[in-house]
Amino acid sequence: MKALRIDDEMRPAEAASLLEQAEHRRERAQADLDAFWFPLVLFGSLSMVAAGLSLAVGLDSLGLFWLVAGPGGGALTARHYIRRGRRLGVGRVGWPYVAVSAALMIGAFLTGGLGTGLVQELGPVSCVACCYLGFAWIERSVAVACVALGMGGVIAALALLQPPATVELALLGTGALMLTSGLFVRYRSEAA
Amino acid sequence: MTHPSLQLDNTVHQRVRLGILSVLAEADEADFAYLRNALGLTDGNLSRNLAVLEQAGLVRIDKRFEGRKPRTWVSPTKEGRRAFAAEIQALRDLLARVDAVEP
Repeated sequence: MKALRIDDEMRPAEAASLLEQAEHRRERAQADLDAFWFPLVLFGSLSMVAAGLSLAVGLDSLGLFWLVAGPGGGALTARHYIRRGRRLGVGRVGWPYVAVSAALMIGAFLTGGLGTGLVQELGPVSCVACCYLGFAWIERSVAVACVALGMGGVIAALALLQPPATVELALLGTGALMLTSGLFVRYRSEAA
Repeated sequence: MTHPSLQLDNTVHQRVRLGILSVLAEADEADFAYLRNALGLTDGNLSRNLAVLEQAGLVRIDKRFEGRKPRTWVSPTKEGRRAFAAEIQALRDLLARVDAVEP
């Protein structure tokens, strides 16, 4: 490492200015990278459709629905991120998103398929909430972390109350939360 | 204990190069035009500073074709991320030292 010589010793004001600029540039890059509204809106809508489907056709339809909608929604989200990255000229590597998405799908199918009682009813949405914390970490996004915690709150309330149609209410509650948060993030960033 | 100024790396410390690494600390890759606009630089100035960072092994530069159009993408190396984090820490240490001395 080529260090500064002692006679080059920098002034505190210069150090503060450099730190401030570095922080400002990081924040700007983060704002340009912020594209999470799309999967929030997409998967929020899909969750609400799933709740309706479960009420109309039955709980058994959910496995098949998510087997198609999960990877399909993931592919659409990947396309959105890649196209946006190419248009703006800035992006993040994809493998962390793929790893968290795979963990989400496996966890949701295992708890929904093999679990019993509350684990079967609320396990899949709990996996989604946990994996959204993972997405929040990848995106360094407080907004996504808040959505994940909000989903956790909905799940905890349903686990305590155990109302009839718990699965549908979980899908409806978390879906509505994701959809409204996604739309809010989208219009807030557009306004900024 | 060494003075925090001595922890500063001349390659990273320069304002433009620190700016490039700041953007790349958040994004995993950025193209030439994005960096030029984000940092308000001319093509020549950005090229020169990228060459210094590439030579020091702090960034990787890839030229890719999108259709017929060439596009230059810049990404940080592990060493680049480490150097950026060390530089930020050194600057914070320097300020903390000043705060501790001043009443």
